[in-house]
Amino acid sequence: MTYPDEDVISAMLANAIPFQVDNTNKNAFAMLHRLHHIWTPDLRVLDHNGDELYRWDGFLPPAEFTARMLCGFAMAHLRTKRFDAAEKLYVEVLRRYPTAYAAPEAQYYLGVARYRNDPEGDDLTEQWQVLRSLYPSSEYRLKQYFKELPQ
Amino acid sequence: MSNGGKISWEHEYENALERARSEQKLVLLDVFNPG
Repeated sequence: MTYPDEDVISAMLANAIPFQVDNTNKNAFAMLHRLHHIWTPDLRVLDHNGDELYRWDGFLPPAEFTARMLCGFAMAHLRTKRFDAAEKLYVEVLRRYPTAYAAPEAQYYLGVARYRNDPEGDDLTEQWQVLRSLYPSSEYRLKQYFKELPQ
Repeated sequence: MSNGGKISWEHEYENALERARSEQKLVLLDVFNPG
């Protein structure tokens, strides 16, 4: 249901090499052990050195999958200090999938990506204000709650 | 890589990493159960 979706395919191929492992294949058991694999589907975002930069598991329908996947790619860029690339993908998630479960994460880390690009700017504060406004019940709103506490 | 809505998955780890390196992309690893 999810993988034949054209939006999923387009977002996947624009950003990554798709690599699939059958968890019943004995030749894959060593890799699965290293991955601490326990459930399917099990999705990991890796860099070209094989370093894992993001993970999630469980079925998601196409729109939710695409939003989560783009957040995964964005986080991979964030963790490898490609802040512009991260920002671009977070903006895309919020533009295309503003009601997705991944959207609050994108909103939170959009602020982080912009802050890391320009620590002197106000982007973190601005983006987290948007987070409070649009996603008030999200875990990510809670993560920035320290900003609301009296100094 | 995609043919009419179908993804052509890489199945060799080192090939996936090498292609990610040469194409300047990430790798999306999907562990699945065929059952």
